[in-house]
Amino acid sequence: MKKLSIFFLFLTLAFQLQGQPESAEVKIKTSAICETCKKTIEHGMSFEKGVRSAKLDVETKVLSVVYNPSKTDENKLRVALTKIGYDADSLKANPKAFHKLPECCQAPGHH
Amino acid sequence: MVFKSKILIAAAGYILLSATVVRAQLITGSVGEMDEAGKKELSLPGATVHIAGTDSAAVTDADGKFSLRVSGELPVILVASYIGYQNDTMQAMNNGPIQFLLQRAIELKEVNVTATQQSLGISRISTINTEKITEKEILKAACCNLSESFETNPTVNVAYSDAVTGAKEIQMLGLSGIYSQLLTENIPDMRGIAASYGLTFIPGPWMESIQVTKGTGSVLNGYESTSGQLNVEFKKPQEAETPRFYLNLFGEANSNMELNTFFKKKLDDRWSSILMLHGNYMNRTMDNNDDGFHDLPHSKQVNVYNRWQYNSGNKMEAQIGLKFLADQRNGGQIHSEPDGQVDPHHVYLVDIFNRRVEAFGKLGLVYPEKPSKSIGNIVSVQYHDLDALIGLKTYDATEKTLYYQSIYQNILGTTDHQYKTGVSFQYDRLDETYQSVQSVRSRSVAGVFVEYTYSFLDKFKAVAGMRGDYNSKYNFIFTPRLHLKYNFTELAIVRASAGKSFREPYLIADNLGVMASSKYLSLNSVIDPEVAWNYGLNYTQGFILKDREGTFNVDFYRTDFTDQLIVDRYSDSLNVRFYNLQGSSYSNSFQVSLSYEFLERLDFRLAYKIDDVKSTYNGKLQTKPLIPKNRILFNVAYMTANEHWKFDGTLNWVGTQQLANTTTDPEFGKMPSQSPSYSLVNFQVTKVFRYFEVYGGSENVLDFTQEHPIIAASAPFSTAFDATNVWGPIDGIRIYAGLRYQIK
Repeated sequence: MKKLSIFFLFLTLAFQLQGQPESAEVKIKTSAICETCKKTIEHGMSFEKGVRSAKLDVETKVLSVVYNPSKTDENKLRVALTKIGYDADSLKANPKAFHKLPECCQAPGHH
Repeated sequence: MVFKSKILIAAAGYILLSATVVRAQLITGSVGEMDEAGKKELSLPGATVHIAGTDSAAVTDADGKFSLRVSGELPVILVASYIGYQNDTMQAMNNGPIQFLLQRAIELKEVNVTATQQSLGISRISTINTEKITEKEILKAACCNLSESFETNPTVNVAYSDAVTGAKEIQMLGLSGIYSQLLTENIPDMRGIAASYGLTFIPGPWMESIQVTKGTGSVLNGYESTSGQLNVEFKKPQEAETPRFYLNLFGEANSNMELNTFFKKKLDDRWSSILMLHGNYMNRTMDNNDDGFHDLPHSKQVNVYNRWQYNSGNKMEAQIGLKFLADQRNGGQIHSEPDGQVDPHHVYLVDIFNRRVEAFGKLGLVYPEKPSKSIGNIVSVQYHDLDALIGLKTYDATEKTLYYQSIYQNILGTTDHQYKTGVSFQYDRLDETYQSVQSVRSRSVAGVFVEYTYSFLDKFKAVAGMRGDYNSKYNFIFTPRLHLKYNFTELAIVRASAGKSFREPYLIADNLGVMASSKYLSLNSVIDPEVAWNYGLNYTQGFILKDREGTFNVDFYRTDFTDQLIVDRYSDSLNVRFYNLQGSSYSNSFQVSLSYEFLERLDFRLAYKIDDVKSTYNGKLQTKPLIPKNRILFNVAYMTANEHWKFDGTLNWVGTQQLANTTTDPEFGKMPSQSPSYSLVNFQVTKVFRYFEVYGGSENVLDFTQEHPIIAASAPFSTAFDATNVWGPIDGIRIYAGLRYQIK
């Protein structure tokens, strides 16, 4: 039973990681086209400073980022997205990063 | 003038050719989908509708409506497509309106708006009761092969077949793995003599997904599957999702080490290739229960898979693949000298060597102008060599298999009537030597099959299949199978299935584990092929509670054997007797499961299962030994919002099992007739970094082991010796850690 409680301790720990204060949300229109893009964007953005979560809706191409406003701001997030290789609202994707994307994400017509 | 003549032509055409063939038409219609409750139609703006085989296309407006000019004759085939949805095809006989209702694509079905993927999705589209185990779920197991991929799945259970060889077998519906069919990308695989270790020959990181079909399967893949089908899909070179490079390193506290890696290369627009490698090495001697025997045999494996995919762009897809495997296991009594220098009459040795070569080719033709028409061809050759020494028993076998299958698929008029038909051929030659008695078995089986699918709206679907095979020994074999599905709503589904199966047993290879006792294997009659009927009923209710998805599932399956090879370990203390079933033999399997995202990103799954399996042993109907009557599975998975941490915990409760111990040796006494119930707990933590991820965990955290897995371990050459009564884990707690690195 002791060992079982260690296992549940991990779960409780996981919950505590959540309880954070202030957060803001921004919606950014991206140039994503497929599920692979979604994974690349969500994974990449989640490692940006201040980001709590990043979710992309492939159909509308809109990325919703929940972040800590004392650590980052909307523009920094847009720039970060262009560095992953995608357009962020009116900002164009970084061409170098774009050409490193998986092939299916380098849609013709872009760049 | 032009305007007038057009009207004239149109009018003339209309009169002359009636309504079916009309020139220069404007077809109108709409594209939509049903809402979650299945009651209201929602429009899909931005969907594409094109005329098959042409460049004519239109995009739907904000209300999901389209209009499309047709220059040629009617009827034409219209194809509607939309990202994340399955393409739908309809025949336009007149100018409409044509109403498309698209279904979400199966792979994307489990992706909801908050982007959590239910990793064990019971498909709501498939007529056949199929669960898809995705990569996410496969990764929850410690590592590294198919036998470990079912730890969080209630339908498939995995058990050690004995206490000395390390062989594992799956159970579905309470029936041994030999009654379910294993396919790799729809090719029958790891059959016959490869079956006892086959699960450990398919490395986890190579797999993209596993489809588990419960109950009778499709007739397309032969007459063999009785209790279910497992189809493994590997990572594909042509898919963007497959990383260009992948590396997985895995180590266990017991010194087991594994390496998995693959390289993907896209050569040009048409050709792509992938090379996959797997190796494992375990050389530590463990004897936690102090019985003088290895708890797990030492093992080594090298496994290589190379395949090439060709895609002509629109008409043809081809694949070739080559697999090679060598696997060696050494166990038994612990001793210091190499196995070759030991007298097997004094030291109980277990030496098992598997070698396997497999090659396959696939050729698929599609018709761009007729999207629902296709032809698929599969050819596969397999060579397997198994050399086994278990105590004083030896078994050497070689099996060569050639398999060919061709499937033609089309519709009858509309997509409401689809059919698949084709031919198959299988040649199988088995050369085996058991205790220096040689035998040869060679079979040719030629078959024809047809499977017809009828859809009525989105409500009802029926898949009726039948096949006729000509077996070179048993002549004509007829196999009918039927699957029905009815949707009360989109989320409430009832399924029913019934089907027949036929299988030729492998006397020794099916029962390799039984060799691990001093009993003689005794056979007094000619073995007949096994024939069974399987019936199933399933109800699935999806629900959305507080914006989070959940599924409730309940099913009941019955398998009735009319002919079966009975392995009798009850009746005789000196012999394991093999004979043909006389009387009844059945399995009743009931399962109820509930899965729900309880809190955001916190998933629960709870399942309860009853397996009631009985056979007639020596004229008496008795419970089949070593099958737990009751099981409970409880799984919790949690990940943080940024998905950088993932936690997973599983509790398996295994109920009591009937034991088949008949040892009467006074020194070892009479063992209990039932095993105790026990619980197994596993957990795993994964930390995702930007460029790699690390994971660690433990299996059997409570360190539960079966106390005396081997009866008379101190006297392995006495008549009491028996290592076949295994009902629980032998190796105790396992602790592991691993690393995954990939380049997209």
